[in-house]
Amino acid sequence: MNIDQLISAYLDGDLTPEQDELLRAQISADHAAHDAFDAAVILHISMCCEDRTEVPPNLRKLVFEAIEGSAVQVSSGKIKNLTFVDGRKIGALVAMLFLFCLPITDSFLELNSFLELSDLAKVNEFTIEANAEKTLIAKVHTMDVIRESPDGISRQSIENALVGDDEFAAQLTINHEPHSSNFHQSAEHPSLEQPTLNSFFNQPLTIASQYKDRDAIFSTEQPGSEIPRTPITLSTVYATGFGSAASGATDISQVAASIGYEMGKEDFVGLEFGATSYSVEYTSSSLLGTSEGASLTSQVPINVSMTPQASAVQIPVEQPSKLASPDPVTTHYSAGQFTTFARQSTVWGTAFYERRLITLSSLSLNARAAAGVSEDGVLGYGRILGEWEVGGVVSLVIGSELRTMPFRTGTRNNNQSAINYGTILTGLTGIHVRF
Amino acid sequence: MRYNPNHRRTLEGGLLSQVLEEFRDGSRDAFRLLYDRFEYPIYRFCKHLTGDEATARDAFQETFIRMYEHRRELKTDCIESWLFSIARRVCLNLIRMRRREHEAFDESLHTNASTQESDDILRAHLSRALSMLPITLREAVILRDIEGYSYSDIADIIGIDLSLAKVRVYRARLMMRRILSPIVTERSS
Repeated sequence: MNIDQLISAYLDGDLTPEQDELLRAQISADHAAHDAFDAAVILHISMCCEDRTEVPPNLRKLVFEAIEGSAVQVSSGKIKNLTFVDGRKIGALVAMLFLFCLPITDSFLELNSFLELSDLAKVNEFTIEANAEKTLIAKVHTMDVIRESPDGISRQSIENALVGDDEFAAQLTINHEPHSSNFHQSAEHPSLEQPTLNSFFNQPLTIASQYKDRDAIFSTEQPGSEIPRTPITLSTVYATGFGSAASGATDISQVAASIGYEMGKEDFVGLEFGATSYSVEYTSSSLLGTSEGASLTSQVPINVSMTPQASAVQIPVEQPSKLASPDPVTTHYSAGQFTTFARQSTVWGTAFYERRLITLSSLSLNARAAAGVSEDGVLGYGRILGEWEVGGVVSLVIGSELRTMPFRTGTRNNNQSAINYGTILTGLTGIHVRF
Repeated sequence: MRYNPNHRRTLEGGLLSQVLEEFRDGSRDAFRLLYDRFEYPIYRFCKHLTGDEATARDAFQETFIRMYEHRRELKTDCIESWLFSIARRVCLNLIRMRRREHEAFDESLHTNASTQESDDILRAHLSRALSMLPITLREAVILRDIEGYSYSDIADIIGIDLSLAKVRVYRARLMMRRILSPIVTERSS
């Protein structure tokens, strides 16, 4: 232990007998150590004893008025054991659950249809057999048409096209909607329904155009052969504020998680829940400089709720403490007022509609619109998201959002909820998981 | 915990538990008792920590208002640590918001020496020297040397280790002594 540590231990009363002896020896031998010891003791005594700091008498009144205001507000907002805040939260929860029911219901219906198509091999086999059968039917009926047609030109042209040309016959088949309900019936019960003759001759141009696009016509891909997947998207995003307008909110940050339901290849609906944190500016004023007889009205801190009676209180002149700085620091603030910030946060839930605008390989650009509720009122936002499918079901997103929502201001001390709507621009990034 | 003799009332043992129970239920009378009990130490703590009276007043109000608003979060009977923790956070927030430049100190040390009593001069300089300490050291030495809390209490209030609390107090004392050595030497001589 050096001399400083010994002195500090002495002031705490933690010296052992050996350390006490060592300290005394050093003080006796070293003049600098002696001075240091004296200074430390004097300072210690000055700090811990005879502090004549007085609590300004008006503070008590201000504190209790603020407490009274808070209590009145809480009690007036009570419905049995629920406060207004609890009520708003419960209302928001019920609304979000209601909105959540719609996509969930659709999702179950869609899954039911997936079950019908679950045996893909069976479906494909059925389709191939049906195509062959229909080709045969088409040939038979075309020959009947040729034989019965009075128009030699048409007859000849059809003969030329048909003889030895199975593709043409197949084309006729495809043009006749092989997956229509009529076709399915004819495949299973050929005698029940056959394609009419007119159905072939009424669509010559369509047949020709499809014939040119041979690759497309004879594509191996069969409708309904896509692997069924759960049309659910989960995502989480973090956003930070770029700026705000008319809200007084700054330093905005936001986290959100959403669940979406894919209504097609391009459209999604879903719910998003999140929390927004922000700083709001508030102004306080000091009572320093108040002269005798001055009214409290113009100088009372606004962060304390005041009753009309309080505004007429006369402020007595305070005796400055001798510990106070000789130069009042209030000269730093104009008119005794200063500005500071309070951190606020709110939770919210929204229902959204999202559309994929552009898809380019693994990149896509999505736009989303949403509306919902927060603890303090309704809100809405528009969001543009760039999405990069990094692999599997995971995508990284980055984008920007313009949001209008309620902000709490002036709630620092007086519990008077002043709700101001404002618009904020945020940049966001996150992860999408599309199952 | 050691209590300053200037405390207006003493709430101990069963009475304190009863008061705290009623306070959690929102009793205004219980709050009044606690306010009377902690009014002085909290104001003094705020004043020394913030370094100016205007900020101390705001911090003081904010502390007791928060104390009432968050009364249900008081889970134990250690209201002193809890209340000082609130006061500390409030003061730090206000200080952070009102960053002001350190005033020239050395020059002012001897300015009014001939016109004031030596004790008062020392107190004024003590106040200024405290305000010159880094906030982490300042809060530790205030809680230890002015409020008289034990190192373990200081560690609880600030939320640091016991050993770190000791180190901070030691460094603060050392720094205070170096800042005020000219005054103290002059006074002792």
